[in-house]
Amino acid sequence: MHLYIYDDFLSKSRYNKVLSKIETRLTDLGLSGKIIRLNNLKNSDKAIKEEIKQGAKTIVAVGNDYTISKVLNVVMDNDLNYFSKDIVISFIPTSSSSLAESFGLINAQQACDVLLARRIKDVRLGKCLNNYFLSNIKILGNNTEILINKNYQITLLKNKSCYIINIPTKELSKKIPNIREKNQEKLFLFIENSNQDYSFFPADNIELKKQANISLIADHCITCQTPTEISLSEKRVRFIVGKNRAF
Amino acid sequence: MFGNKEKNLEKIKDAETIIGGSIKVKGNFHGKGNIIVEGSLEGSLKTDASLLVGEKAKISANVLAKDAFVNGSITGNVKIEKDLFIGKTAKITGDISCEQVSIEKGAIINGNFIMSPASSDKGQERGSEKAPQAKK
Repeated sequence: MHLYIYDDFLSKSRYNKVLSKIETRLTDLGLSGKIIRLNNLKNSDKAIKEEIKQGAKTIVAVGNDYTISKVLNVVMDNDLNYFSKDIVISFIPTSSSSLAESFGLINAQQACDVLLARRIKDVRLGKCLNNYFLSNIKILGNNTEILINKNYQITLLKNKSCYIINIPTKELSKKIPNIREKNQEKLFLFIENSNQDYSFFPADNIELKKQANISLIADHCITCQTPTEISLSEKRVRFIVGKNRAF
Repeated sequence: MFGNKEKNLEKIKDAETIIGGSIKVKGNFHGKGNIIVEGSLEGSLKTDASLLVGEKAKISANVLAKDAFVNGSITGNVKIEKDLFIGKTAKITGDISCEQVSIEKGAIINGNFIMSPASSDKGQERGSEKAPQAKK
């Protein structure tokens, strides 16, 4: 059974048209299912968990990067350990989304077709304290000190952008081709100063000390605090992906 | 290795780890794949594969690698399992051991050289020799 989780912002009238198109397409494809709206996160969490316990196997987040992140963190909750191994997650983006691009989802219409094709990829999740992340964590700040594998420390003297990558976005995969072929079970720290000057480190464990002038953004939407420890989680999620995914 | 220098350099460009010019690394850096160092590193550096040290790189560490192309500065002992290429901009202060070495004119080396015999190649120059102390 398909369970569609609509984000709160989709209740605004300007999204009526796109939702109507999605619903028509899903009906045409025979993929109709139950809908839960994330208007009250606490109640929505409970409702999603209840549906999963009652047999929902395909969970489809409808919205933006934040929606998929919220859904992911509910599905990965320890309460659902027994059920989560059978769950497949999918995503229908209602606007442009970096995460959707990573998974080969171009727009809402095409994402419905991808849902039907059901090409499933096993994805190991990253973990930043209590939050799971799919794609990457962006580090914003200067003179940042990063401890890798508890062995060596990197100091960013000056940097343009710094990412901890689990699954690369389309943009990052152009800069670092074949990233997943380099090492299957690692996170990657990518630091770019200019096109000619960049650094790249595979890592099992990344620590950031408490620093006042630094912020971390996971999956383009969740802010994490320092000090923090980032690593690959033992948890995996089965994700429905498009042909043109970035990994 | 030296006959295919360009090919090997191209291969190492697809490195597992790249330490860029704007990065400072401190600690014990142990890798399994190819490593490129363009920035600065203090501590120890070890890899099971090849190492490329860029012209502007500054390494203050004992270095252990399978093969190495050195164009920057290393202060510490350099132990290379197979082949070592020392470029004209290289500056090494420390003892060096390797199986085969190629040194370009202009390289500065202060330390002892220990050449260990290759397991398969025969008839090549072997032994221990004192490296040139002054700029070539």
